[in-house]
Amino acid sequence: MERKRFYLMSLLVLLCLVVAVPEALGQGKATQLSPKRLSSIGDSMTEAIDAELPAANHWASWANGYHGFWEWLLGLTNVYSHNQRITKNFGSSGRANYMEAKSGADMETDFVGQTLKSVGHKPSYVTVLMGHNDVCGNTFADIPTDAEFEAKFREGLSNLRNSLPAGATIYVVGIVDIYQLRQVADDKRALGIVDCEVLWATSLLKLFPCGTMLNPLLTEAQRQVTRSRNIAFNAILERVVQEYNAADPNHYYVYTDAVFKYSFREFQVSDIDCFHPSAPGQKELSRVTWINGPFKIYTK
Amino acid sequence: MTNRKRGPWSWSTWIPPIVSFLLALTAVGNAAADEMIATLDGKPIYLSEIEENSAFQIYRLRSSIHSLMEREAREIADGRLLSAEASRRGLTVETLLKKEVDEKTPPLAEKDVDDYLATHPEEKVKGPEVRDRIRIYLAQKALIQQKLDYMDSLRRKSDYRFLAKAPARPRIKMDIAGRPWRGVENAPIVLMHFAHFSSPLCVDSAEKIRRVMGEFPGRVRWVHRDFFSIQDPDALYAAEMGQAALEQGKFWEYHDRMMDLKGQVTRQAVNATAEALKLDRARFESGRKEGRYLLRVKEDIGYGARIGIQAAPVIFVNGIYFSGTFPYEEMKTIVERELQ
Repeated sequence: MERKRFYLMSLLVLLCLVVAVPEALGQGKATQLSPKRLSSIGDSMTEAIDAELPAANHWASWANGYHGFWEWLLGLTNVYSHNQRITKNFGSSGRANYMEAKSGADMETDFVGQTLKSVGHKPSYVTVLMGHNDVCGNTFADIPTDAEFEAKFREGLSNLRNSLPAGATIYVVGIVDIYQLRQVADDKRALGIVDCEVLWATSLLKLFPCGTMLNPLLTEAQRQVTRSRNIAFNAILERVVQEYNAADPNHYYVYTDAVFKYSFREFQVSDIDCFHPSAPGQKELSRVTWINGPFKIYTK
Repeated sequence: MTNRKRGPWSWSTWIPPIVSFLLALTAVGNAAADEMIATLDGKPIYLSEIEENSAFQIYRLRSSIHSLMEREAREIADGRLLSAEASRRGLTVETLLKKEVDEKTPPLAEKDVDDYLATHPEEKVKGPEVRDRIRIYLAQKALIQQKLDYMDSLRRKSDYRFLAKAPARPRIKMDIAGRPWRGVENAPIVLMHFAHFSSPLCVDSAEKIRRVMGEFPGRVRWVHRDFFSIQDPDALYAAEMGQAALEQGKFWEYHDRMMDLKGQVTRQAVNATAEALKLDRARFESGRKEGRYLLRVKEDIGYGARIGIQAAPVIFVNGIYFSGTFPYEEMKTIVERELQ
C-alpha cells in the first residue's frame, strides 16, 4: 500500500514537471535558435575603432572579431569575440557573421536603419551595443531626452521583433560608462603614457566628437551630468528589453549592464585615441558580455 | 674498506649544512634584490631578466592596480564620511542627502532655460526639442553640483591620506644595434625614437629631439625605429624607402625631408624625395620585391610592441619611456636628470 502511494506520488510529481518545466524555462516561447547567424548593431565600440591600429579594426571587435592567418602573421590580438566563441561552441557549418555597426552611429538617428539592415541578413543572434554617441554630443543640447531615446529604441526593436526568424535572440548590452573611460585617459596622462588632451585637441575630436565628456573645459558636475544620462539610457534599455521579452513569444531578449559596471584599466583603453577600448579592452568586452549573455552556458 | 666513525663535531659532518646555509643566504640575497619568477631545469629566471623587455608593460599593469586602489579608497572614505555625518545628526544617509542635496538645490525655472539659450544662441537652431534637453541638463547639473559641494565640505573637515606608493617608472634595455642613428656614438644620452613619417604628432616629437640635440651638443645620440600601422600603405612605403636610404647611406637626409612634409605623406611624395636624394631606385625595387625592407620594418614594429608601445610617437630616453605627445620641457627634465 505504502509502495503504491509512493509510485502514485512520484508519477504525479513527474507529470507536474513535464507540464511546468517548458513553461518555466522557455515561458512558452519558440525554441531558441543556435546563434550561428550573427549580426551586430552598434557604433565605433563594435567596429573596434583604434583598438590596435588607427581606424576600424574589425578583427578586434568584441562581437564580430576573427583571428585568421593574416591576423596571426601580423601579430594582431586575438580577442576571442562572440563570433569566434559561436564557431567554437556550435561548429562552423551554417555560420554567418555580419557587422551592421558603424562608427558614429547613435540610437536617435541610426539604430532603426541598422535594425532594418540586420533583419535583411536573417540572423539568429543580434547584438546591440549602442548609445555612446547619444551620450557623447558636441553640447548638452545634443543629448536626447529619455522619451526620444526610448521611442527610437522601441522602433528598432519592433523591426527586429517583426522580421527576425522565430527563436532568434536579441542581446542588448548596456552603454559603457564613458565617464570611467575618461578617468582612465587621465591615468594615461598621469603615468606619462600619452597626453590624451593633445590627442583630443588635434585631429581625433573630428572623428568622434564627445564634447559632453572630453571637452577639457567641462566641470566635474557637467561630466557627471553626462554620466547621469548614460545611466538613464541604460535603465531604459533594461526596462524595454524586459518588456519585449515578456510580451513576445517568438524571440528571446536579454539585457546586461555588466559592461557599464566593468572598470576598464588603463591598458584596456586605446593609446591611439585615449577613449575607445584597446584590443585587450575589446577582449574583456567579449568575455564580460559572453559570460553575462544568453549563451553563457556554452563555455568553450 | 674501513668505515671510519665520524663524531658529532667532525668537519665532514658540518660541511653540507654550512654549504646549504651559505647557499640559502645567497638565495635570500638574490630574492631581496631580484625575484625568481621561474626555473628551467632548476636554473632560475629572475624578474630583472623579464623586465629587460617588458618593464613598461609590467609598470602599466601595476599602475592600473594602484589607480584602482586610489579610487576605491576615496569611495570608501566618502562613504564613511557620509555615514558618520548621518549618524551624528541621527539620520540615515538617504535622508541626509535629501536634506543637504535635494532640498537645497534651487528648483529650475523656465527663465533659467531662457538665460541658457540667450548665452548659447547656437543651440536654438537645433529645433523645438532643445528646450526639453536643456531643462534636463540644467536640473541635473544643479543637483550634482550641490552634492559635489556638500561632499567637498565634509572632506575639508577630515584628514584623508592615500598611503600606497605609486610604482616607479621603469627603464628598459634598449636594442639599437644596426638602426639608423645620428649625433655622438658614445653619448651619455641615447634617444630611441619610435615614429613614422605620416603623423603630425611624430613630426612634433622629432622636433623635440632636434631641440634636445641643440641644447645638449655632443651629449645625445638619436636612434630612429619605425612604428606605425602596417595596414597604412603610404606609411609602409615611406618606411621601406627609409630602409633603402639607410642601405645607401642617406637615411637622415631622407628622414628630415620626410618630416618636413608635416605628416602629409603620399607615395608620390616619397618617390619625389627619393629622386631628389638620387637614391638608387632599381636597388630599392629589388629589395622591396625580396621583402628585405619590409622585414626590417616589421622587426621594428614587433620590438616596439614587445616593449609596450601601442602608438607612436614614443621616445625612450636611456630606456625611460616618454610619449612624444608631452611638452618639450618634460623631456628636457628627464635628459637633465640622466646627465646628472
